[in-house]
Amino acid sequence: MPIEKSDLLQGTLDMLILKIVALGPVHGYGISLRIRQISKEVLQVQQGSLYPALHRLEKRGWLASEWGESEKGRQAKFYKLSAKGRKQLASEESNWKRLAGAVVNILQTAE
Amino acid sequence: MAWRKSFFPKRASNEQMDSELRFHIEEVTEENIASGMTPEEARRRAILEFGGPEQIKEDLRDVYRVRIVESTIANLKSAFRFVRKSPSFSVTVILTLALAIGANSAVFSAIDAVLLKPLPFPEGDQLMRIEQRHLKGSNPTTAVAPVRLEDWNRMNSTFQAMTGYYSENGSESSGALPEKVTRAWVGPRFFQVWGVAPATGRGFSPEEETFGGPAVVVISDRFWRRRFNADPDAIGKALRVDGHLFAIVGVMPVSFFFTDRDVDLWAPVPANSPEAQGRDATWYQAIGRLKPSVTIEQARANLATVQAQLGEQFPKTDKELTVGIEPLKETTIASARRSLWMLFGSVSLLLLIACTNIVALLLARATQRQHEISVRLSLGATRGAIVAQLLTETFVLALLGAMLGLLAANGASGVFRSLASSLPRVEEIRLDARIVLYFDGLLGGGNASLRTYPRASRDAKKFVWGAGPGEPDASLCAESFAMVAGRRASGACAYFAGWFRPARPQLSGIGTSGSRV
Repeated sequence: MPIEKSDLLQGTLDMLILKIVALGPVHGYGISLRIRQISKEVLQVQQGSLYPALHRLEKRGWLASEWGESEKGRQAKFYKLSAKGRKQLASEESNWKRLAGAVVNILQTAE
Repeated sequence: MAWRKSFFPKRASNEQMDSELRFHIEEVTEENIASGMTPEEARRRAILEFGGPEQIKEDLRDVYRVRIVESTIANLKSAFRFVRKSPSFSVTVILTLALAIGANSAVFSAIDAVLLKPLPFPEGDQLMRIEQRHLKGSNPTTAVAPVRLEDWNRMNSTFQAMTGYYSENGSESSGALPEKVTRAWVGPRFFQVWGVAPATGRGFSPEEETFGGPAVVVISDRFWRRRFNADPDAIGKALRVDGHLFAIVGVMPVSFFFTDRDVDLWAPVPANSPEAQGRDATWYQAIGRLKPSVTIEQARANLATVQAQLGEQFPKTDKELTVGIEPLKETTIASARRSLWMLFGSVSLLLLIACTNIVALLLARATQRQHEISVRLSLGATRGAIVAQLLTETFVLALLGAMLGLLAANGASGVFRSLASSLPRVEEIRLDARIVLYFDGLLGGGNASLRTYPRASRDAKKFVWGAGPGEPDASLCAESFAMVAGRRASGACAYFAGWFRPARPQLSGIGTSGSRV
């Protein structure tokens, strides 16, 4: 069953977007597609959450954007990671790993 | 406009949002078609899945919206809390501000009224004082002989009109008790030169300005109120001054006091009266009104030519005379100019002292608040928000200081008027709200920028980049340096302000000649 955005931890969506964009310039549709594919259809990002998040990250200077042609020749807005965004992603990733590790530890102990 | 780009973050236009979202819907539609739907169904599903592009666009706009009103109110609240929480600090800053703003506003109001504004007459800058100067002799500048003034007025080409006057005390005995009045004897064209007409009644007619014509006076507003209780029927009544009867023909406006503010009556001196005929009978103070766009140099050259002609015509009396022309404003305020600027210098230093003290206080305060700021930054406050908060605090302090300063300036203006009552044009001194606002802005802006900028941005950097072990020491060092420098500067200012102090008592003594213009 797909997990909706509201079930994701606050701030997790931002980290996921940054991670996807870190793989190379990509448009909004591509991001939602990849999150779905990579998570094996577990995570479904609502467009209503995706686009405000993209614009928020761009406003903070973590993403940069550029208009270009999609694979099928349509005009699309491509996002890519800025230097600031790369730093932010690194710190969020390490925080997430620590948090996830801690949760896993607790769950294992409780068993 | 590079600064605008860097100041306002780039925001997506409506069309850009539309086309970004449209692209997404089209991609989803194609995906649906590929999975076997009809094109209509595919599109319907795509839009349905999207959940309303307008709603998303509204959310996108929210991203760029800066919540100015909300954040300003929050900042103001926290600023007032800050002021209440540390009353001794706030009171010190507010009183210092009030003192500096009050003193500066009062003095600058005086300078503005006395030195900077034109005389309170229509086209006041055209008014000139005209003097008769003797080339030789111990007393080079004398009064003007009325007959010579008439010659000048007739022969020159640079003045609209010239006139003269002479004031003396008289005794008015038409009432129950005799009363001392100040009477100005004025030459022809007197009201024309000033450009001021009587508020009630009329000026002098040609017959009244002819020797042997009807004896009339124009009275001052002050005399009209005192003697006739502002009764409009006073026109036509007779006054008996020094035993002679004069009919009242007009009342001057309240703002007109010339030759000085004590004058009660103006009476015409006919150009052809016997006392005004001798070329040696010099008893007029003379003024004239320049023609529009005539310069003072042109007028001087013109009158020099005129007087040279008179010198040939009357070698005995006029050969060694020249004509002096000075702006009436300059001759009125000359005596006060230096003292007022000195006083201004000394209160400006007072302002500097106040500024350096307040900056030192705020810096000391900011050191104590480093912790609070760090906490706010680590909770996610942006640098801009911190700066806005600190600016609001300074603004609130400055506002309170200015309000108190306005009261202080009002009082100080009154004190100033009574202390320096002999200052020329002193009755024109009014406290100007614009001046208070100006000083307030100067103080508040200066303090705010001095105080918040280096600190907040340094703290922000420390937070974002992580502070190196040496950095806090360096910043503390810079801070102490700033505080010591501030103290030094205020000490130096206090020294110089004291240096200017002897100039102040003189102020009450100056201007006695000026006020008798």
